[in-house]
Parts: sequence; C-alpha cells; structure tokens
Amino acid sequence: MTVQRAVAASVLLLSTLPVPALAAARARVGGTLRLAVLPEVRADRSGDTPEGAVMRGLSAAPLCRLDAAGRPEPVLADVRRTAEGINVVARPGARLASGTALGSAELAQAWLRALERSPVARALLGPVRDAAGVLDRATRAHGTTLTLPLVHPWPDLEASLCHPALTPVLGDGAGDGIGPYVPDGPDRARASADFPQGRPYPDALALATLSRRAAQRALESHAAQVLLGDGGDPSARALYATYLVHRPAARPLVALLDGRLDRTALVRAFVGGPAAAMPGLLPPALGGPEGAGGSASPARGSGAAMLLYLQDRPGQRAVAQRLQILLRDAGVQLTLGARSAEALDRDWRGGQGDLALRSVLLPPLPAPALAVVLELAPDPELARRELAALGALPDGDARAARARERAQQLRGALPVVPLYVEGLRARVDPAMVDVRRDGFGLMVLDDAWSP
Amino acid sequence: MRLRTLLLLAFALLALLPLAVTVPLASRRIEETFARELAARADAAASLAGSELDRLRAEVEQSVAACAADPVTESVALQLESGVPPDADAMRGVAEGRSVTVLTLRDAAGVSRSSAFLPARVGDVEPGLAAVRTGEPAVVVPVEVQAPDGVQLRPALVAARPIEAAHGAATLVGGQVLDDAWVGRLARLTGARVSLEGPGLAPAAAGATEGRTVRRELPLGPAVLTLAVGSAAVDEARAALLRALVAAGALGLGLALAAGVLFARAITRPVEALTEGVRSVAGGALDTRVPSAGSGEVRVLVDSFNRMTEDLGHATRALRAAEQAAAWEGVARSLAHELRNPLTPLRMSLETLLAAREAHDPRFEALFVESAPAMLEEVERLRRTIDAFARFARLPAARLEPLDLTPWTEQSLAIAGARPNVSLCWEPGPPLPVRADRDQLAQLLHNLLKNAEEAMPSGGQVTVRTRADGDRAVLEVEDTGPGIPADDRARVLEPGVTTKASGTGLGLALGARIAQGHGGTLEVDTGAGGGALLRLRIPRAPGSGFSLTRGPAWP
Repeated sequence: MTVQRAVAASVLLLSTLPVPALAAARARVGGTLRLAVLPEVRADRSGDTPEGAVMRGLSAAPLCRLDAAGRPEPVLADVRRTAEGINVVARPGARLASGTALGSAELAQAWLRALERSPVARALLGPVRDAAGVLDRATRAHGTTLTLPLVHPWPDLEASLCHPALTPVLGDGAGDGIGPYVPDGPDRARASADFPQGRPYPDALALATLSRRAAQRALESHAAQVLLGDGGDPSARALYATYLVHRPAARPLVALLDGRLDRTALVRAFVGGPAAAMPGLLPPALGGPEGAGGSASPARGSGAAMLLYLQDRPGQRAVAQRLQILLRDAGVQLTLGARSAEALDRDWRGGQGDLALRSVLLPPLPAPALAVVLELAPDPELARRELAALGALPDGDARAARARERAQQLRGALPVVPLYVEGLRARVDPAMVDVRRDGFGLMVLDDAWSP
Repeated sequence: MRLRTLLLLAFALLALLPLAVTVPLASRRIEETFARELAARADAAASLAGSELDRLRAEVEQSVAACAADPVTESVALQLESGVPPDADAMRGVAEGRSVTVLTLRDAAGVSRSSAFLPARVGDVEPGLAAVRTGEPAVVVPVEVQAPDGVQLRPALVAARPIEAAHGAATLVGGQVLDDAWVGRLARLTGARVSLEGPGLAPAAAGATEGRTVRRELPLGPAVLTLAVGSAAVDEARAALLRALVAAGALGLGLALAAGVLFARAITRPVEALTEGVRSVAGGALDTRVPSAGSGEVRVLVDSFNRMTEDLGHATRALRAAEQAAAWEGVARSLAHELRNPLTPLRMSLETLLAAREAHDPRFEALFVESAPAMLEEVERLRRTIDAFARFARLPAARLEPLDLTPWTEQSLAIAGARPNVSLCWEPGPPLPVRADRDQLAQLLHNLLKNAEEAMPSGGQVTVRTRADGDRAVLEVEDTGPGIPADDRARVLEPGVTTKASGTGLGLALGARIAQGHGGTLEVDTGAGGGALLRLRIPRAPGSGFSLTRGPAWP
C-alpha cells in the first residue's frame, strides 16, 4: 500500500465514522461558550419564544432542523412516509440527558405533554388521526419507531416536526432532552459527546442571567459571546407572531380596537426590537401583507372586559397596556390579567378572559403556519376542512400560495386579530464563528466557536 | 308609706335635685367648649394640609427642573429630535431617581414621546397634562395612572419645564400623583380623615373618624380635598367629665341616703316604739311603757303616751273591778233567785208537815210521803245550782299546749254523742294549729253542744265546723232551733242570763271566759237557717312546731 493509498483509505475510513467521531476529530476543542440572557428569556424554560427556543435548544435539540429553504435535516430522528402516514424513527445513539435511549415511548410521552400545553404542538399534530390516542398507546410500546396515521394528506408534516414545540423533552421546563450540551448545574452545561450530530466545539456552556444593560456590557466587553433577549437582526426571518384572540361576544370591542390600532406605531413604540406590524394572519416573512398604520376611529363603546397576556414578555405587557388605553378612550374598561404561557393557554381554553394576546412561533411554511393560526381560533371543523384542502395540494409552492390566499380570506372571519411579528432578539460577538440560523430564524449554536 | 321611707325619699330627692340642675348645665358648657376645640382642630388640619401642598408644589417644581436637566432626559430628547423613537419608558430611571411619580416627555405638538408612569400613552396627547404650561407653577390636573384593575384617573400636582438641550422641541412634564399613599401621609400628618375626590377621579381616602365630624374642604383643581376631624377624643373627654360628675352625684346621693337613714332612724325609732306601744295597748297590755328616747316634741309625746297608758291602766283596772262587782252582783242576784225558788216550796212543805205533826193530823204520814221526794228534789236542785256556780268561780288559768283544732274537734264529737232526735253534722276545715287547754276546750264544746240541744227540745240538727279566718282558728256550732233574739245576744254571755225556762245561765258565760282565757272570743250570731250560731275565735299558732294527724272521720 502506498502512502497515497493509505491516506486515501484513512480519509475514506474517517468519512464513514459516525458524527460524534467526526466532532471529536475536529481541531481546537475547548473553552466555554458564555451566554448572557435577560430574565424574561431565562423564565421561558419551555422554549415558547424564539430566545427561549435557542436557549433550550442547547440542551434539548428538536427532532430535525429546517434549513433556510425549509428542508428538514434529521437531528434526533428520521421521518419516513408510508401509505397511511409517517414513521418517526429515533436515530441510534440518541440518548436523553438522563441516559435513557430515545424511543417511540419517550417521544410519545414528550408530545403528549406538548399537546396539553402548546397550541402550536396541537396545530402541528392536527393532521394526525387521533393524535392523543395514538401517542397514549405509544407510551406503553417499545421500539424506536412511532407511527403516525394521518387524517388527510399533509405533505408539510416532516417539516412541521422540526418545530421547537415538538422537541422531545421529558419533564417540565428545560427537562430531560438531547442536545449538544448536558446540564451540569443551574447555570452550566458540559459538552455532550453523545449528541448525534457530534459534540460542540466548546467544552462547556455558561449561562448568566443579567439585566439588559449588564448583558449589553458583558457582550461589549467579551465577557459573553451571545446575548439572548436584546437586539436582533431586522433582516432575519421573523416568525414569532402575536395575535389578539377574542370570544365571540367581544367582537364589538375588537372592532373598536381595530379601528383605533396603528400597528406600525404599536411596534415602534411598544414592541421594539426586530419586529414588524402584521396586518394579515400570516407574517410578511411567509408572504403575508406588510404593516400599515391605522387611523383613530371616533366610535365609542361601553362596558368592561378582561385581557389575558403573557407576564414574562415585556413587550406584550406594554402592548396590553396600550390596548387598555385605546379601549379606555373608546369608553371600555379593560382589566389586564398576566399569566405564564402554560396558564394562559389553560385559562383561555377554560373560558377565562374576553380577550387574550397569544404569541406563537410560526413554522416557516405557510400551510403549517395557517394551521397554527386556525388552532388559535376554536373551530376544529373549519381547521380540518381548511387543512385537508391544503394537504391535497402536493406541490409545495401551490400549497403555500393557497395558504396565503386562504389566510387573507379568513382574516375577518376568525376571532383572531393579527398584531405584530417578532424575530429573534439576540446579539452575537462578531468574533464568533459558525453561528447559523435555521428556517425559523433561530440561532444554531451547535457548531459555534470563538477563535 | 312608712315615715322612714318618706324621709329617705326626701333625702334622695334633696341630693338629686342639685345634680339634675347642674349636670345638664355643665354638659352644655362642656359641649360648647369642645365644639370650639373641634373646629380649631379642623382649621389646624386644613392649614397643615395647605402647608403640605405648598411644600409638595415646591418639591415638584424643583424635581421636574432637575429631571429636565438630567443627561438621560437630554439624550432621550435629542433622540427624539433625530427622529429615532425612544423607548416608551426610557424616562423610568430618571423618574425613579428624582422620586416623581408622573414624568412624561412631550414634543412640541404636546404628544407624549416617553413616559415613566404610563408608557401606554406614548404617541397620544395626554388630555390632563396638555393643560400644563411650561414654566408656570405646579398645578393639580387629572392624569391617567396604571392601577391593578385598570387605568384610573387621579389628581396629580405637576409642573412643565423645558429641556434646554432640545431647543424647544421637547418639554418635560412631571410631578406627584396625589394617590392613596399621599392621602395616607396627609391623614397621618393632620390626624384627620382625608379624602380626595372629584368627578371621574378614582377616590382616595385615609384615616378614620368617629363620632361627629367637622369638615374643611380645599379645592385642588379638578378635585376637592376634604379633611374631617372626628369628635371621638372630644366625646371621650366629655364622657369622662360627665362620668366624674355622675360619680360625684352618686357619692353625694349615697352619703345623703346614709345620712337620711341615720336621721330617719333617730326620728322614727321613738315613733315606731310608740306605734308598737299603741298596738300593745290595743291588744290589752295596759302596762306597756315606751322607753323614753329622743328629744323635744318626740320625748314629750313618749312621756305623754306613757302617762296616758298608766292612766288607762288605772281606769281599766277600776272598770274591771266595777265590772267584776257588777258581775258578782249579777251572780249573787241570780244565785239568790236560783236559791229562792226551791226554798219557798221547801219551806211551805216543811211548814205543812210541821203543822200536820203538831195537830196530830192523821194525814201526816201521807203528807210526809208525798212531800219528802219533792223536798229532796228541791234540795238536789239547790245542789246543782251551787255546783254550777262553784265551777264558774273555780275556773283555773288555761294550760295552753299545741293541738290541731280540726282533728281534735272531730275526735271530741266522736265521743260526745247526742240525743236521738238530734243529728250532728261535722264539717271539718283545714288543719288549724292552735295553743289550747284541752280540758277547758272540751268543756266549752260540751257547753255549746248542750246549749244547741237544749234549744231544740223537739229535735233538729247541730252543725259543727272548723275553718280558718286570717290568723284566727274558728269553731262554729249551729243549731236549727229558734235562735237567740237580737236583744238578748249581747247578754247571753253574761253569767246568769238565759233564754231558756230552766238553766243556770252559766254555760255560755263559762264558754266566754274559756275563750277569753285562750286569747279569743265567743261570738253569738244567727245561722243561715235562723238558728243560733255560736262562734269561737282563738289565735292560730304561728309556725306550728308540731305535727298533728287527722282523727277518724265522723260517722
């Protein structure tokens, strides 16, 4: 064997090694990735917000990642389409932080929990026939394959499963997941050599919860490489959409509000960051209409109502207070009720409140995004009908176009008023290398390193 | 009403009268004094509140001027000038550093561009703050503030100052919300109940008042500040004074009553002794003497009473002696009459026999046989008469012992018996404990029954009954005879008086003496059927210390 042949054989051998071996083989391993997070980001342990999803993704990666074009890339499981639906097959070596191998039972258990607390998860698994029953039965099964039968064709299901809301996590909050880092205390994590896509470059991850000013100073002084919760790239995809949902009886209030609401001014004065007005049900990033200002309406009303909003989202509190002022000017007394994300979902579904601000991270594809919007409107039959019609279109572009069209048509029919959409609020030390963004506009720090 | 009670009431009235006059007068005077004090307190509270407002106004003007010169404020204003929208609540840090609760940066058009207290109003012209002129003293205007249950309208003391760095493009309006905390401070400072109210404004109140209140109102722009001073403390002091007055009055009343008791006792004791003495005299105790006590007219009265009873005793004894003499005269007269009646035929019979014997009349034997029984009968009659008078004269003092009159009567009737043509009817009353001499009482009952039987020679019914009459035990014997004429009723109890053809006239007199010996009386009356009714009344034994059992029923 010549040296050239030996080198060629070695290269071939290395190319056939599994990913962890490849990661371990990368040069310049070491150091600590330091993240500064604002308190509201730290509070989002379920990863409902873009910043929370990035933070949680470090220790609990999603099943797959969407690239910028919306194509899924397997991370923890492979998705195979069958005649009846799809099979989700956990990848070999995918182990939870607790050491348990990821199987169909663990996956079903995590998704059952997601169905309970997240409207996004309910929407994304909506096309699955009797999703709760299937998953409940699967929790008692063994094996690595989870079979999901479909009610109707749904070509975007593979991409939908990459949503952070369907990240396989056991337990509450950050919980027991599979990520490039394994929690090693409340504010630290160590690199995981077992991560299916290979261990990250740094040896460890350090989290510091800081005020906005302190976090900014930490980033400027290179004490932190990544800041979550402040700043953002206005050109990045913004899919974290906020809607005002209402009960049928509150439609007159919403009419009063819609006439007085200037979404552009609302975003500029009260939301801030990488955000944009969203006059349509789908955000501009998915082809929805661009924001336009409103004009003050002289119409007046009376009475009292209650608005539920997310307590850990400062912008949302400011928006809620602005809506309160606008309705006060219209003669309506609006009481604000702050809730955690889970409590808000539970209380709203339980009948509390007349209005609610619902913020959801939309999938980057119009049809699944419309499915999420329809989930916010309590009309399962309408959702089933709309999604079946969309799923019947095999062509992705045609499906997206139809979804945009339907979103525009449904704009006034649903008890869902679009307000604004936000992107990821994050800043990165310019010296950082290999910081990518996925199809959701979220930062992927798995391969990030600092020279 | 007793004299002692009357005297006590008089003393109590004398003690109460000054209280009744002085307490209302004093109370009214106290009321007026404290009302003036209450008004003075309300005025002081209002003055204090005015001073506090002046102090707050100066503080607000100073704080807003300092905020307008703050570098952060200037940078926000410059950011506004450059067209970049500042954060809605960028001024929050400035407000917190200067302790102002209202702080808004507004542009030249009066539109709020950054608000430290109500960021939701950014982009609007705030109606209340728009009226605040730059550079003028702080004024009270209505402002919207965030509250847990929504946005509220509250009065706020605010001033507007220009931001020099913005060259007239921005003005800072700030001040203090006159909220519950401020009202609470004012309440603590003034000691009054403070309320701040106005049309459309959320009311704020603090402090508490009790009792009547005196109010002072201070107009504060769209609101009215009301200070109310309660009369609780004043009422308490007034009540304490009144309590002291009443206590003094009660003490005086107590002392007056005690003095009254002593005084009344000193006065009434001789009177009560006199009263008791009169009662005793009325009861027959003529030797009663009242101890000589007291002085003045009371002593004279007691002495007079004692002299009077002494004289009465003498007179009574003399009268009794005269009565006894008269009685004995009656007895002697009766005795003479009773003795004379048999003596005359006896003498005539003896003279007839003597004459026949001296004349050797052959009929002597026949006359002797004929006259001797008649003479013996007359002698026997004389003996009975003499025995009756002897019993009447020898009646001993009664030996009183406890007995129950009703069963005793029943037992006595059981052994008394009656003539065949006379029926006895026994009507027992309740148990009647008395103190009596059994033998004398038996003699009395025997005499009454005998009197009744003798009143009905051709037969009839004798009814015997016992009953209670107040503190007296009554034994009645009623017959169905012709009764006793009204003219004779007063006399039949005298010795030697009788309405019957035969009889000594001593039976009822002896009964009357026996009744008198028991402290009672024997009365003569007419029964329901017109017959004689003789009624014995003797005192009932108070609190009988013995028990009696009922005898067998009369057959």
